[in-house]
Amino acid sequence: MFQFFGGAVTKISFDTPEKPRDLTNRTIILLRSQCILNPGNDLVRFSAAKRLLACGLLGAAILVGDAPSEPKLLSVFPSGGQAGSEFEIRMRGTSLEGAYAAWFDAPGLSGVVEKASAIESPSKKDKDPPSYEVVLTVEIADSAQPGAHRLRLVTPHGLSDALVFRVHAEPGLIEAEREGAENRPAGSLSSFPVVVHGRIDKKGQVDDYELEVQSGQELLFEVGSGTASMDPTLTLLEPMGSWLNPGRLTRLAYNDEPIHFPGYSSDPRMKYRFQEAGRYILRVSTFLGAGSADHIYQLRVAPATGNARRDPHRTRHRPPQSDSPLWEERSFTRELGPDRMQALWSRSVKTAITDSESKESADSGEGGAPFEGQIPVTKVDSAEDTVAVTLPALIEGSIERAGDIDRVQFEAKRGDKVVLEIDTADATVPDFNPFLKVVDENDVEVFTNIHSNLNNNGGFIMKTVQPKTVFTFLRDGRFTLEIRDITTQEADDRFSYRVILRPQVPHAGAIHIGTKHLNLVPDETRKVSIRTDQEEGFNGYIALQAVGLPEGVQAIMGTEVEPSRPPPLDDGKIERYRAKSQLATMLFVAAPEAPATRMPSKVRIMARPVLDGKMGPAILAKELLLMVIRPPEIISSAGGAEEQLGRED
Amino acid sequence: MYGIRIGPFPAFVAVCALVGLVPASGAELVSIELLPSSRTLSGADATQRLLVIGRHTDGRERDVTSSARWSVSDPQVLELDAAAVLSGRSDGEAEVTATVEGRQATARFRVSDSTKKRPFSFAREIGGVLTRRGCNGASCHGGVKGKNGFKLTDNAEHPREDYEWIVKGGVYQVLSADSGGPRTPRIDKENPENSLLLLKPTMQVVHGGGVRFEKGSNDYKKILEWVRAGAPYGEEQTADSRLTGLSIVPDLLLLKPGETHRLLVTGRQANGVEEDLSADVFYELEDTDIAEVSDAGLVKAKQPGEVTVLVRAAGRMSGFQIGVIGPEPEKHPEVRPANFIDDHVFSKLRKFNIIPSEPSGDAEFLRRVCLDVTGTLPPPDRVREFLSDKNPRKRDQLIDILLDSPEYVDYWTYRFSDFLRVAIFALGNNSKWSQDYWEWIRASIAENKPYDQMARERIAAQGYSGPSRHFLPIAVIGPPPDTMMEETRVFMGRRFDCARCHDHPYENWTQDQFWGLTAFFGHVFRTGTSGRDSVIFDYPMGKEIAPDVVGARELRILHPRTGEEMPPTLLDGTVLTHRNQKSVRQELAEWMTAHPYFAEAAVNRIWSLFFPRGIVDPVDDFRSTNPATNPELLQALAEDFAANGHDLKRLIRLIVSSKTYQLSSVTNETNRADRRNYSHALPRPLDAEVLLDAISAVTGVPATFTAYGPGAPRGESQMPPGTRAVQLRETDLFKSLFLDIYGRPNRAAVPERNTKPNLKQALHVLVGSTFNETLWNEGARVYDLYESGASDEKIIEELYLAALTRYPTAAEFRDLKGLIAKAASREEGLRHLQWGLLSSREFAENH
Repeated sequence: MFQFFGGAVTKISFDTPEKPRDLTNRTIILLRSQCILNPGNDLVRFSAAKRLLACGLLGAAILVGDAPSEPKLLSVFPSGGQAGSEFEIRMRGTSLEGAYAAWFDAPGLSGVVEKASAIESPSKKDKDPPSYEVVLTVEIADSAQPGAHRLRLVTPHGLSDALVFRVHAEPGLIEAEREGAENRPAGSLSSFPVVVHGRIDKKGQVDDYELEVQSGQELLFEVGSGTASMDPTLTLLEPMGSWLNPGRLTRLAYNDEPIHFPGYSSDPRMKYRFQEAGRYILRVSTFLGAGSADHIYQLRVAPATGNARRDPHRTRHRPPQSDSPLWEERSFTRELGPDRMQALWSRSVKTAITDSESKESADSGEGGAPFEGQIPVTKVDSAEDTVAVTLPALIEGSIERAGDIDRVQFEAKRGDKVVLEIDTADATVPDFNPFLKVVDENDVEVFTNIHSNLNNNGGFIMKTVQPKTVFTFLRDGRFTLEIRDITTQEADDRFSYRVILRPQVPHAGAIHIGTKHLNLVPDETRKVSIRTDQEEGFNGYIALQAVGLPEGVQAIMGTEVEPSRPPPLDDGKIERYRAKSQLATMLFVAAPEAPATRMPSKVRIMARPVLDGKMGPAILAKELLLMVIRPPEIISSAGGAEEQLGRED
Repeated sequence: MYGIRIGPFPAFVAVCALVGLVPASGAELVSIELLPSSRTLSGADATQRLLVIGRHTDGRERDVTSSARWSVSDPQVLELDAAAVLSGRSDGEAEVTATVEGRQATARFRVSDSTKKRPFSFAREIGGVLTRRGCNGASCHGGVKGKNGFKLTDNAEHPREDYEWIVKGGVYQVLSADSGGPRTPRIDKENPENSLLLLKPTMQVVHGGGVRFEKGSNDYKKILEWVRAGAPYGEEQTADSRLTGLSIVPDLLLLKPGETHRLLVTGRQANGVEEDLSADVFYELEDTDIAEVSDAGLVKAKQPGEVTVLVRAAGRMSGFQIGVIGPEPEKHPEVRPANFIDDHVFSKLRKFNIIPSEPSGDAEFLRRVCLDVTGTLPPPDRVREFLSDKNPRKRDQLIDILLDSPEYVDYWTYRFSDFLRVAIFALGNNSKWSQDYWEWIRASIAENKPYDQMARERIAAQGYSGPSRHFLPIAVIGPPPDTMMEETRVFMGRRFDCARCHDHPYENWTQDQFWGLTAFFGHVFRTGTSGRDSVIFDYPMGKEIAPDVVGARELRILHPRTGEEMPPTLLDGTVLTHRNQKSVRQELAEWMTAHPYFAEAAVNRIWSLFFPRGIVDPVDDFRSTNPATNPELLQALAEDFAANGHDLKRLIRLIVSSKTYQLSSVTNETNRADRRNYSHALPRPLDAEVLLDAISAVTGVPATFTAYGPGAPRGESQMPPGTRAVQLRETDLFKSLFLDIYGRPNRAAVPERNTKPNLKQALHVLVGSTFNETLWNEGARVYDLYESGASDEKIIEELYLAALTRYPTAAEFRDLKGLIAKAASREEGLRHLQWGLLSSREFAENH
């Protein structure tokens, strides 16, 4: 027995490891950190073995904590279907017992739960919740929109997380069963377009599809991953054999994903033009040969049309959009247009202060009232002379030749607060990495969109290309903005950009809400953290409100304690590249008598900027799915939710 | 290793006279050449050694100096002593004529400043003694840290620093010319004879380096007089007076055991002045069993072999080779060359009196070429087909088939992945990066991309491209010096490592050159945070840097000795500046791939994959002290490679089509000991991956490869069945006991594979799963044959063809059938048969 400090726990016993069960996750996480990081605590005075044991016990304590088991989906098979069809799907996951409804985020999709039963999962560990398979009949209306949609299950334990469910216009097939005959093709494809739903059941498995193609035929191949753990790859093979191995398949094309980059899709996609008619093999496999019952995929083979680089599917490989459905402040793929100033002012409040500041500027000949009109567009080309612009300006161009530098000149006065924003619509990071640099008359760098700072351990400098930079000029002058790719090698006609050089507009920036859904038990309170960005000197408040709450649930404001972090060693000129932010907590409280909801309610979180005592327009910050569920003991004693709640027609 | 002194030079003449210069072979003298053919002797102390080379009817050149009769056109101007050393008597010009067996050769000399004594120079006089006596070599006081507290610069490269160390003393400090710690002078001006600089090398006090010169010798007196004179520094060494070159005649010396030859060493200063240094340099041999070189520059051959001699002068070094040839064979066979490779190889063999082996048989060739070009054993049916084929062009046809095979792409992707280092390590955490890099290599091999283009793409890689990932085997870009060293090692075959801290001890690379090249990589950055993002770029692109940019200092490469910023500087001294439109790395890449070093390094590396050693070996350690075994061959290959678009397939075809490559491994009397002239095929152990694939091919049971570690997916994963070891992208993901114990490198640095056998391998053969658990499974070759009712003869033949690419001999058939019959069961006998074949050297080696 020994003691250590720093949290809610005062004792820990090597003999009774169950003791810490009542710890909250936050407390334990803090203590785990101390095990590793804090050389001053009592723990380090013990032998290394005991330290390891103590850390292990604490880690175990987290895993066996009393956190409620939320329904969690692992996979759905097939992971989509053809519009206008009805078929059976199987969903696997944990805490799915009693699942009674499906929830889709798009019209035209519906599902009926047929059966939910426990299954054995070979990878299950003792501490894992039991696994279930739920069988549903899904109906996709003719009118359903093709594309990726979200599918959840509604259970007595609440709403599950979401999986991607794809609707396609093409006929859909299911891969052939090959139990015990893995060498046999998973299917034969000769008519395109076609969609095949498959699964990589085992590690090292490959699904080979025979293709019959015509000479000159060009096909587009793409695989959609059904789950986060599934990272599919595509290989096109020719069964021509080789002198050394008559059965050898020769690789013609390969794709793991169009580009591997953090946050981008890992789904492969490739086009191939067949020079000769004949039989080829299309292989679906996984990165490094991972496989399990939850490695689900959807293969689509279609005649290739148009320029692949401009294919709209490419947008799937962009980073995910921010949490806010309506607003992206700092993303290379947000669309900057001539109406940018209007859009910014729609997230702000025009007050006496801003008006008077504008008046002052107007009096001093610095611009006049806040600009809300259309920003004039200037097209630039590196082959031509430097173009002169006045602020605000929207500059359009592209980096089509390696080493191209597009230049515009502008004048600024001491104290001018400006913003440099860029969007790269057709190709973006990491293909096109725009580098913006403002230099003075003597070619001396004034500021850039590259943020330099030291990493956490001070070991090396990190540099990041930023989509937005704010800057205040220290003197009058004529300046040149240089626009280029950060490399001197990369260039393409897709490297188009739009840069806005404009005065600052204090406004509410992105509103970040990490939670996507909430399952509340009566008499329970859950918190939702909301971080709001204050852009360009916005120093007001953001009013927050939850609309559309179910009966017996209210949302009230709470306080938030931010975990302390060591100060950064050297964050560089962070204020140029990051907004200041405010943190708020909204507490969702279910009254003891709150009735259980059968289906999730869509709660809208609205935000309104407040400045100088005036409230600005309402902004939709988030749509949150919320359910009130029965306490676990009631569910189990009642013998299942179906009896409690009945089945929905 | 130190030079062997055989006495003062007049003794050399006597030795020559005793040995006799008439060739024992009876070859007659054809012509003579007097060297140097002209020279200016400047100053009162200037001397010049003369050398007469005779060309004989047997094609050999011999030193006939000692049998020459001499005449000087104007004895008032020149004087010639008994050792054939000239000195000036008065200013003017005169001719010297040598006559040997009625043949004459004349050289012209000018004498200037004949009365002018050369002013004292510490660098030349004292530095010369220290160099000549081997005191300042890299293995002695010229090492990075010096020796026993006394540090000198290598070869007196920095005489000012040497002077400080000797006169004032000091203690070595890292990366600095300044000394630290307590200072103990190495001279005693009050009692010059008690100077450590004299007591140590004469062993009057204990000296780890032994006797370097005798008390009372000329060098002893020179130092003693210098100390007595107050130890002045004297004339400052100027840039003009520095040695810029050292030439040795002859640069390749062919002698028979017992023969002697004098050397002519000429130093060339930056101002164009040339002087005879033959007796003022240090001769260092790597193997004194083959030959000896006296202090005076007399070579004596001892036994057949080749040896490199390092010649060190104050401020410069060079090297040359001595070949001691064996007895002349009765008849040297006429071999019709397949291409210029054979011309050069057979020409050297003829010079060395080595007869090449017979051409390999079809079976021997088939196995060798399949393994070398594709890393794959041919299947039994193909062996039967090839061996029965009567087409005289079948070898050429096979080479073309193999070069166009998918196995070629697999194998050379693996080969290139090794030296181009496809790797991720725990800190990198992004196995997709190494995949992108590997895919770039694979695509390049598949399309037979010109090698210079591949090199440029890698050296100058930017953005998020496949080759740019080579900068990130871990999450951070390596230090610029490390990156530079790797690029130059891989693509120029040179190791600049030593020059990082000091001028290279064995080469003429300077520390300035090192940091000048390093500056090309000083601006390489990646975007983003660890494990993410990571676009490679060069920053800044010129112009001034905003004052608030964090760590602006990071953007400069500072010379550690001077503390000054180094601009990107090519080896030839060309200075480049960072510009907006083009990365300096692009310019470096263009310069590197156009440099002669590039092509010779490339062909040497490829050559080494077909023979037991490179023409220069190790393949990335070109230096004058590690010369090519056949410089003409290397040059011809390099020129051909460059002239034909750096075409890898063409180069490989050229090599494997040569008679040289297709020689048998069966030796004859003359080539049995030869290991460096490609006179016969030498067995080479199969590399780990190739061996494992060969075992899988023979047994019919594929190996399985599981990926795990930080870069692998969560949960279990496994490469698809049938994946071969050469198809694995990297070593860190696919851990394998077999591959590790058979020498697979981890690619943390440019790999040098260790193919030497070890105990672990022996144990693995005995009890390891690879050799024991794949022999009797369903799907295994022998098991299936057994189950199908095949006879012992059929199984033995099939196994031999699969494993050894040949039919068993009648004796082998008989013996093996007997062994199977004696086993406890037929199954056990067949297991033993497989195990025996797989554990045999004939199987585990390419021969």
